[in-house]
Amino acid sequence: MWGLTIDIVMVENTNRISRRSFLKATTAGSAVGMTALAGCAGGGGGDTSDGAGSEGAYTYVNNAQSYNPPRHDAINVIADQFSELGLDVGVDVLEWGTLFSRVSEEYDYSFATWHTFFVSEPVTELNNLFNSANTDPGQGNYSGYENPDLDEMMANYLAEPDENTRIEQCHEIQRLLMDEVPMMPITQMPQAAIYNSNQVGNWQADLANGFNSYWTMINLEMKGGENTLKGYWPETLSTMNVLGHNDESKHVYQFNMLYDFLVQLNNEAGPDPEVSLATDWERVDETTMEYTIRTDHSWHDGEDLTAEDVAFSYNYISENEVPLYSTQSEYIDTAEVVDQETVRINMAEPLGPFNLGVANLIPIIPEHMWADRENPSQQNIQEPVGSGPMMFEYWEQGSEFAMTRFDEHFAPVSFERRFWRVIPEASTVWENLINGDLNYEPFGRIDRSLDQNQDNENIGTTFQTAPTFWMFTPNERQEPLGDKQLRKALVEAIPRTPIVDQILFGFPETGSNIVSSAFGDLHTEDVTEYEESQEAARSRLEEAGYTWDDNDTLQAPSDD
Amino acid sequence: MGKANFIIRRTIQLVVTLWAVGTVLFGLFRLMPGDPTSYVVSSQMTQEARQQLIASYGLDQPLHIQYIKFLENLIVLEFGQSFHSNEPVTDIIVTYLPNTLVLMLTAFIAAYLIGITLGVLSGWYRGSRFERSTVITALVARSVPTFYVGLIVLWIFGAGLGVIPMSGMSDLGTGGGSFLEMMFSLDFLHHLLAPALVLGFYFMGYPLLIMRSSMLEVLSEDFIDVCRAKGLKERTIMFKHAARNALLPIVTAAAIALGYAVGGSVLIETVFAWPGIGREMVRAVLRRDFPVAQGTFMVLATTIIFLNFVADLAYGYLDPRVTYD
Amino acid sequence: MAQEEQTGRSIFTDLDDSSSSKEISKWQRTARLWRETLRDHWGKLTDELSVKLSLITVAAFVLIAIFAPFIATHPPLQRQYQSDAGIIMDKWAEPAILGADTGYILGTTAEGFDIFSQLVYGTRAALMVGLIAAVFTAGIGTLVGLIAGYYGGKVDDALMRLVDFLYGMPLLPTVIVLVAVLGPNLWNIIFALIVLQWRSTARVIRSQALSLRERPFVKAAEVAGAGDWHIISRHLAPNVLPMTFLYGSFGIAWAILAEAGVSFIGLGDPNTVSWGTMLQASRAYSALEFGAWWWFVPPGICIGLLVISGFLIGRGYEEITNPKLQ
Repeated sequence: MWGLTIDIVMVENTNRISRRSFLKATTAGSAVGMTALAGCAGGGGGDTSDGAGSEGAYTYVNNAQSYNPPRHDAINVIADQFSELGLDVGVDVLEWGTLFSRVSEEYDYSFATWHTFFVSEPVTELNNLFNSANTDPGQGNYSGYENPDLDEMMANYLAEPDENTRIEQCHEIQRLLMDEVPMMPITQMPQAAIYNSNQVGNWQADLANGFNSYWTMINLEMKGGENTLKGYWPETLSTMNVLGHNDESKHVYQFNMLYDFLVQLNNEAGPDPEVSLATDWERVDETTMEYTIRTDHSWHDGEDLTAEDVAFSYNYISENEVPLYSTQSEYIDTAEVVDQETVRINMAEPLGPFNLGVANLIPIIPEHMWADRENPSQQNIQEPVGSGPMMFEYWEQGSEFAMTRFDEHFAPVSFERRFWRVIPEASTVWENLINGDLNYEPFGRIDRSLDQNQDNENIGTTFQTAPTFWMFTPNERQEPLGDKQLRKALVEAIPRTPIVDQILFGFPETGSNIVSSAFGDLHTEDVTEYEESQEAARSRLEEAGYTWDDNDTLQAPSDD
Repeated sequence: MGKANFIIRRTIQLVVTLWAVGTVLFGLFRLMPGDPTSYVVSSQMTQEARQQLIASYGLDQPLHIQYIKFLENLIVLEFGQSFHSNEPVTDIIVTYLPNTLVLMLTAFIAAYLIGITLGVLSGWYRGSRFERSTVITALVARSVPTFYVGLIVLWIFGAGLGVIPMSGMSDLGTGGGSFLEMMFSLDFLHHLLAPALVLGFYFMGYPLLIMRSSMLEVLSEDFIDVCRAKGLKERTIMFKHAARNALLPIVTAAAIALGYAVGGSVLIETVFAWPGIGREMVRAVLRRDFPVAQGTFMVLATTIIFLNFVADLAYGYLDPRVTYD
Repeated sequence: MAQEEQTGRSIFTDLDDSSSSKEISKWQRTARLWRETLRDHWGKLTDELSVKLSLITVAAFVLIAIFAPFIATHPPLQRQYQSDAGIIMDKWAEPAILGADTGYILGTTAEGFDIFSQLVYGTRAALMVGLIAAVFTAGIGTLVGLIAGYYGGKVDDALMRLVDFLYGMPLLPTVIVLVAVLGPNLWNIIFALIVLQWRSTARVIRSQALSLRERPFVKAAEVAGAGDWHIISRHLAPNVLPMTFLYGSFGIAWAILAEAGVSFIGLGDPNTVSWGTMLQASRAYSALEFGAWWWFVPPGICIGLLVISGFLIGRGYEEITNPKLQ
């Protein structure tokens, strides 16, 4: 029973968290002004030796340099190595949105690399990525990998109630995947807290939102008389509508503080009634949950927060089919007020981990503000009214967003204000971090500035292994990339260590396993390891019957 | 043809030009590669939810219907809602345009006052070392990209000497006031200084060169000699008689140049992280946020077209030799 | 200052048609006429020191562009590694001209590209953008201006409304939109620039053509039964030529500046090195923050030099077209 619960939770979490973290992950590192947010192709790319464009037999899609300089660079380095191996590779620099749809929807690419999504559970995500049933355009299996054995293993895992058995199964899945390498982690990206240590301390991360989580914020300790938490983002926020944003992390990080959720998680990914709106909960039956709500809480505008508000939020979001919460809505039938402090939620279908999959993600919104609003996702909200630990102060589009502390909150933050300034320039950010005009770095860039400044006396850093990585994915729909030996050879040709050491200044670990050690027991070290060596790659290919022509171009073995 | 006729004809032209710009714009944005819906609709959403959103943005209608709707809306200055924020585009324009205008106008007015004065002087002292150096300065000012000058200024005076702020319109964490309050605060002026100076330096070259040429033409005319013969002071001749007559080309040039200055604001806004309309336009273009991109572009184009129109009219009023045909 | 009327015949008067003997073909006469006009311009132009220097600068850049493969020490987009065996990139190398023992004249970029070679190859991009855009904007503009001015009436009206429309388009935003639609490569940037920039040439040439059309020698040619094309190419065109060159040389400057701006915003051609993309990259990697001014400063100086040369040559022409300025 518990096993099943976890699995479904994970589906939910994956769906919701993956998109946002994905966006976050891929904006990381952009440095140039307004291109930060969607930077189109720019900069000197494609360093195949002749500097030529993309007219290769293979296309490695790359994000623009201004969008994420280190990753742009890493992809060029890998493409160089593939050329050396005898592949005719062209690098196509694409604007981010175009790149994403080329790969994930049109499947029109040979190789792709990006920062993978945050997930709270690995196999649900792997099932999404590699299940043979997901190979139609846009369904999720963009690598085109098909393996009935793997399908079965993943299905078994997802249905398995016993945790220890599941761990074993997950190890099996890793071993299979790391041997077949439909996807290879290049670098294991860390979660990073980067802050001015004179002004703020006690950084605790959670698995999904890292150092930008609710748990992190309510545990921060201010120092040296500072009472404002001062952050930045390279681009402006888009909206103040908690039901109408696009799930990018810049929005999630704000709304997580402006609104309450029935259930909040602590740093061990467990629901914590101490810091949640619900002080207790009970599973009445398979499809019913009952939550006990705090009765002494109020909205930022002074109105009481009641059980009616909670029931209203669930019904309103579900009835209006708010797109942002469409996955959650599928499980919500109705919510009703049982008594002053109890809300009952009836599910449309059984969902074990309702707390993690729904109650932690649906924001509680005030009935007195929203009751008359139609088409919630299209609302243009100027001043959001929530009940979370921070209250809206002002939003100057294109320059600054600020919130103040809500003193009556049950899990108060220790700072009085928090603002985010729009600063596109990395160097400006560091200037401000060191002199204290900013005191934390929510964006988490990993670059030379971090390398140079991390030992500054004013700067503190905390790193934590994250479940995410820069992935390398060959498109198996293109011959001969369906050949496992070729994929293995390519993996061997990826200079993972130089990328980590030189492009990322040693901050991440080199990638070795698709299930990160951040997942604890689910992770195993006992998987196929790959050398980083052109020679190994070449001899592997030779063994597999590959040859090189006079121009040293790789020739696949003929089938006959 | 009379003056009234001329104005009517010009006005019709203005409207037709605006329509043409709008139409071309509409076509361009729909030619863009990439699925516009993917920027609005999360790929993780259910298919139903996707369709609903696409329909609500009118993206499922045939092109000509979208076009007619676009034109209707254009007439009432209704540019729709941002795909990303759901905010009316008009509001976005109202938010960002004043920021751009303040910066541009400050730089522009300063540049023209200084540029015209230097132009008069260099025309007057033709052949002097002073003339040569001002002309060369003006040419240099126009030859080095503004964004480059801006970055160097930021590097030296911002990062190096710390006397100018590195970005934005106000100190960190001090927002929240009204636009007017902000505009008249010392803090704002401090932030305005560097970008305005950099822009002003760039703008200055144009009026300077025009004024100089214009002065040279005026000075070759007979009435200057008459003035001299009357025994008027050099300075009086220079400013009262010569400069006044030489000013005409500047008026029209200024109106037109101001339009293009606003249109070209994106570079300096990028360098100084100034939340202006040019940057917002580029942002919208890259995000395929059609309504915002169209709206902001139309504002920039309208500014130019309108100022060209003003320049035409002004020319007519100021120069009695112009006939209206 | 340019000397006055030394050749005895101003380019503003028509060439003496009567002197032509019958055996010289029409084509040869046209060629001679053009040759003489150009020689005349050249003489006046090179008389000014600043113009001379500008011409030398442009010539130097042209030579660099042509011989780029021989001058550059490395391919501009080839990553440099420290040794043949390992993969250790030569990034952020300090410039050899400052005494660093790196072997890279101006050091290397954050990605390990040789900055000097990028600068050399950047000349190609700049000149390509500048010259192609200038030739086409001046050419199209002159042609349209002459046709509009000569024919007048409906033709004039239609063409000038088109020009009015183009005048309504803000330059940089339009180029940005066009490049975003067509894709970021150098040709699209050039195309976008040409589409917009011929407007000013057309407008000026038209007004010149309008007044030239009323001049006696044009009327005479018309009476003599000369064809429209004959009059445009032999009587009008040579006389508007200084203006064409004037706008052409300004066109070079504007095109180079615009390309740099577009690249700086991040819409440059990722597969070509230009000074604009160099500046953009140096900013993306915070080159100035790390004191690597040798990455940031040289491209800007090159842009400035080439652009100011364009302006100075243009001004030289301005003085030919407008003798009062001398």
